[in-house]
Amino acid sequence: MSDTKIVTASALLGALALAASFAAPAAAADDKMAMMKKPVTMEQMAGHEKCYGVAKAHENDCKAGPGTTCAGTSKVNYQGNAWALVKEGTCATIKTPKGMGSLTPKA
Amino acid sequence: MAVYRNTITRGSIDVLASTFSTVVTMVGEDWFRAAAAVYVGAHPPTTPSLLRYGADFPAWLSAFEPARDTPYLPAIARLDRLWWDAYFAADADALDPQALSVLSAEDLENTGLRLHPSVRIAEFDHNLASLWQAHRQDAPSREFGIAEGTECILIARSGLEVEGTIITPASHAFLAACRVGASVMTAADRAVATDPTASLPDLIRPLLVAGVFTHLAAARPGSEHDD
Repeated sequence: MSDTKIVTASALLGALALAASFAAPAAAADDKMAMMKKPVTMEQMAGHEKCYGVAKAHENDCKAGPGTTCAGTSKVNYQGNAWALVKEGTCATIKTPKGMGSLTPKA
Repeated sequence: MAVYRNTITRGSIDVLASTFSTVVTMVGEDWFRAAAAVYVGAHPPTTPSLLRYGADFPAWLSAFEPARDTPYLPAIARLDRLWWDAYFAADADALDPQALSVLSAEDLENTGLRLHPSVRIAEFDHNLASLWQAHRQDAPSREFGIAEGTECILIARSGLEVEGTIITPASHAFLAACRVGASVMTAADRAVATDPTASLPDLIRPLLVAGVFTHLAAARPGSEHDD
């Protein structure tokens, strides 16, 4: 297929010139509003900081009380029964056409 | 020592929760942190910087038994990952659109459009890219239906803003060709071969506006043929 040219040089030159002329700043403003640009949310910025937060986090979170280890572990410890945990996010509002098993997302 | 190990484990889980924030939105904080703890146990971080930690988390999720009833999660995780990859990619100036109007017919065959370092393109089954987009903002209150078909998405950064945009299969084909260094002519051919009704000016203009291209460069040999 790649050897068969279906676009002619003159047509492509015309298309490029047309695309370039309408991509000029004045005409671009509308497109920009329409299809691009969403400000970085506070949540995303917070997430950014968290990437560096590990070394900072020498607070051990040992607030779980006597007889327990630190909070980081207590989370891990109940992983044994974690799968009794119900997904509490928005999964419940997502509907598949033929049941969940019919989906085959690309990994 | 256990205290420090716990700190690292907790920090690693925090990083995963930040990176895969859309997954957290979908499954809830508790479920996510419990799943992440299992992942961290099996794949502890190997470098002091956790910036890129969790690269194989999406693949791991797809084999994670308790996630089986939500088979779209690995794709959502992959999209979250692409968002961060775009966010941390190098800076580069966008191509001046006028550079395209001075190309000659000969240039079309041996010159290619190079993509901004932040550009990520991917194709997903169903409408999972739309599902991801809908959850990036506020969690949708309405029900979201999973549709048949496939969807392509372009994720790119302009300044500090990373944006995901659903693109047509023809646009995806055009950008995929550019990514491997194909000539402008080959990229256009791939786009039209994918969708004979595609309008090239309409396809290229929003990409120029979005700053997806950085410069023109010699087409790479061997990029003219499909892999």
